[in-house]
Amino acid sequence: MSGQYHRPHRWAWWTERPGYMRFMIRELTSVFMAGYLVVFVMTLARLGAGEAAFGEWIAAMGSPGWMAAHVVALAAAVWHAVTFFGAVPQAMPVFLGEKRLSGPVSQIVMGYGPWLTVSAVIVWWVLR
Amino acid sequence: MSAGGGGGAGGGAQKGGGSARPSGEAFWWALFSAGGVMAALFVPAFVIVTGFLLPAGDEMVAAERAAAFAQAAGWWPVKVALLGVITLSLFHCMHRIRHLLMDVGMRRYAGALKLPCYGGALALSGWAAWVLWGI
Repeated sequence: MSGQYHRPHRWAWWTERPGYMRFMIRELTSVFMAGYLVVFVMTLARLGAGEAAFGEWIAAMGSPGWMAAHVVALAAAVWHAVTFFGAVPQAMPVFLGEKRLSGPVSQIVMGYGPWLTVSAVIVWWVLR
Repeated sequence: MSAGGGGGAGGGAQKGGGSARPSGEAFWWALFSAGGVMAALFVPAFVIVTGFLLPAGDEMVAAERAAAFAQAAGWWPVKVALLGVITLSLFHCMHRIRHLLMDVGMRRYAGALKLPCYGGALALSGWAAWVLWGI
């Protein structure tokens, strides 16, 4: 990567404009999602450790602190999905023959539709 | 799936000057895109299930939901899918975290950051595989 030139800037350059701030919030969702994924694997590990261990772990997840952490994780995950699928028209234009699907239609077909379907199936499986 | 890869992937090759040695960035951007899709499709629902649905309700309800969760997670096709989702999502997150660190002043460590970021994602994925194997 040597030979590239980057204009020097303050490390907090992203506070300068609302758009930069939105960019930074989107990037930060990955920190919270990574944290959640670690907790998710820990949950699966407790499941492997037996029914009693899993029940104990899940009961602990009901504490206010863990609830708050999950609210943050959910907000981050939802914002990641919204921004990721929002970029479909720019990142993955969808063509029907020669015709390019309009932005909102391609976002629904390639993103929000499958997302809501997958989420509904997973939630239904646990609640049924 | 090359979503979002355009801007970052080309940078190394175009501006390198003399040698056109591939930097490997394109590979990480491809993993990033695939992981971004997986994380967006699955992680919100996972949070709802493990963070809210499983701990909620009285003992009867909780036991039923725990049983449904255990049944799904114990079926091998679901295990394979979970491992795929977890691995790709972790690579997505760690790639983004690496670029986040580069964007707040650590760009000169771009190469050195690869080991903790991608190595961390790989290690966590290995752990997830071991955990899933044991369910």
